[in-house]
Amino acid sequence: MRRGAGPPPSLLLSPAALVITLGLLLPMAMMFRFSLNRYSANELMTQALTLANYARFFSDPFYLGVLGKTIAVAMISTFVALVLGVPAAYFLARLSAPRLKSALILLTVIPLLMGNSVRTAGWMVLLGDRGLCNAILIFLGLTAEPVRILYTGKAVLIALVAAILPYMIISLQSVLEGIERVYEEAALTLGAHPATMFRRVLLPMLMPGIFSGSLLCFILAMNAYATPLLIGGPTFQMMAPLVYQQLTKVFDWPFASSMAFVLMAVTIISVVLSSVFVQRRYGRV
Amino acid sequence: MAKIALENLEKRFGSFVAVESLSLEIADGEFLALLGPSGCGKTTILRMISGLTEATRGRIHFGARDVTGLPPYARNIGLVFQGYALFPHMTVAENVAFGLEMRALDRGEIGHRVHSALETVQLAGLASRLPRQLSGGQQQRVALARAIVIRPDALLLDEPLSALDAKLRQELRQEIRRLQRSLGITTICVTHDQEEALSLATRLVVMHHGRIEQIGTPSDLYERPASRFVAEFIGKSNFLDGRVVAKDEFVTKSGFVFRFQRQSARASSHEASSVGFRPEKIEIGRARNAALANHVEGTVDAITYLGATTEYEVRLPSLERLTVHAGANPVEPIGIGDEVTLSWSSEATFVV
Ligand SMILES: Nc1ncnc2c1ncn2[C@@H]1O[C@H](COP(=O)(O)OP(=O)(O)OP(=O)(O)O)[C@@H](O)[C@H]1O
Ligand SMILES: [Mg+2]
Repeated sequence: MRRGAGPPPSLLLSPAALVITLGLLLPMAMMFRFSLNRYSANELMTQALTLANYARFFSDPFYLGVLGKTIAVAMISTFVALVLGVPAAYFLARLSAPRLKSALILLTVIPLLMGNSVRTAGWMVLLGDRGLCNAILIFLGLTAEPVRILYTGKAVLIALVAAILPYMIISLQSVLEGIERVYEEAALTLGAHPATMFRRVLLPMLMPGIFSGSLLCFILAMNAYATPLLIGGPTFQMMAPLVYQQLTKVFDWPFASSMAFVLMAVTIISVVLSSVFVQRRYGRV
Repeated sequence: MAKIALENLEKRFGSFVAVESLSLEIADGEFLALLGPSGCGKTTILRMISGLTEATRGRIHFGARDVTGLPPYARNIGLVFQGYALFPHMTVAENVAFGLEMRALDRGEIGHRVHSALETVQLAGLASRLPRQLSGGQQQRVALARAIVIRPDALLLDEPLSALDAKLRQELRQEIRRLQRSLGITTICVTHDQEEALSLATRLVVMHHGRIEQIGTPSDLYERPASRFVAEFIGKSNFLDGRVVAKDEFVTKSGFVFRFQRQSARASSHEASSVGFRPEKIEIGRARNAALANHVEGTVDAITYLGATTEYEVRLPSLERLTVHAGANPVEPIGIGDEVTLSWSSEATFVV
């Protein structure tokens, strides 16, 4: 094709750019502006240009604790999803029976087709004091009293991993599909045990999938709402429900906005840092 | 480096028999070519030898070592894949070093051997490049270096040159042969390309539908094909159907009588068979060559100039067609429509 004919390619971006500007950047700009305002008990929000809300967030151990917990939970659940996702994705990608493969892929993404809250409600039934897990534990005689699982960090972690795992598996599987089996076979014939082959050949080639999958899962986990709200309950709090609470219960819009911004900034910074690290370590991905 | 022995090796995929009861011995240092049409089981044989595919039945020995049950990483073979399969995230040197690292050699030794392997394939200057920064021929050389650097018991090549253009193929063919001879590695090379097989190998195995059609030296297969399949697969042949009527006499359906000297075991007397003779063994001229045993007359239908030779398409009165290859400068000029006589010897005639 002749270059220069037709509209410049950048023009094709403009509808998307418009949507992003109107739907994302504008509200974000407004939010940022709100976060600099001041809360007042009778007027709710008064115009101001102050960093007091940010100062309040970073000086209160409670909020810092929630932020720390959120980051920790997001990192751990992403890591667990990665560890669980790699074998599953490998199995899926190397499956030769096409019917079984489509069925299993469908099964993997089915949880995504249900609403987040429906799925989380299911976990509540499973993990509650009178839930299935405890019923089994008591039946087996492993415990006399119900064990508290719901409303603990462990429960949130389990449910979050379950929520993000499909994204991880699909990200990894799509990259694995593109890695021909012949590389594995070449490594084996050169004398590599399967475990060494995995570490030296498959893992580096899978890096783009690991990176994109982990990024996606980390962002989803950082911003998770329904799962920590329903399963963490009042005792295990994470950032997103806390923002919402400030917004709808306390009506402190400036503070809620500043919290939302902190959450976003931390997410973006972690993403940038990790991509720099991955690029240093494994070259371009 | 060792002798390789395959004993009744068989591979089934479900009910489909990809390789059927194959027995074969490859001498220490021999270069064997595995030849056959697509799907005849060549790759499957290499995969069984390397341990990537489990044999359904049979045994594999490297020298005195029975490797039948061993996984690929315990077999010590150098396999060059059709698409090379160089690790894309490793440099040329890292690719070549991989097999040595798996053998836990010390760093100095690895560096030394990688360097000399790259020198052998004339790539010492490209050690720090990534595979994607190399040409097809260079990638091929790296794959070769990676396979030989581990000093394998057997070097297995699966259509090593099929992705390259004709000139490069010629060049690398020489190089592979030189390398194989100087290292004395027992080598099995799979190929579609009969020219490649004839020029590289000391012995050829022609396969058909998972079975061996014939094993022999290049000239065995060319001069004494065991079946019509082999005769058609290796080089060009003329065939006329008919049957053997005497120890050295063949009558075609169209009534020609030809004398022959070689009869394959499968073509028994009195049964329908074919008489064959190579296009370049035929003399073409206006008069018959009385010194030769077989003669037939016909009309030249087409002439194709092939450079070193000229191909004549000759129509017999029976409407059968024969192909003749003659030197490019005939004693007497022959044109389309000319009446000619073809003559060839009984030694050049075989029945399959
Ligand atoms: N994993 C498999 N499952 C089922 N059938 C297979 C499998 N691998 C190979 N086959 C069949 O076995 C036969 C031999 O295959 P193979 O790859 O050995 O052929 P080949 O001689 O190497 O052919 P080509 O020259 O095209 O590479 C083919 O008919 C193929 O369809
Ligand atoms: Mg093949």
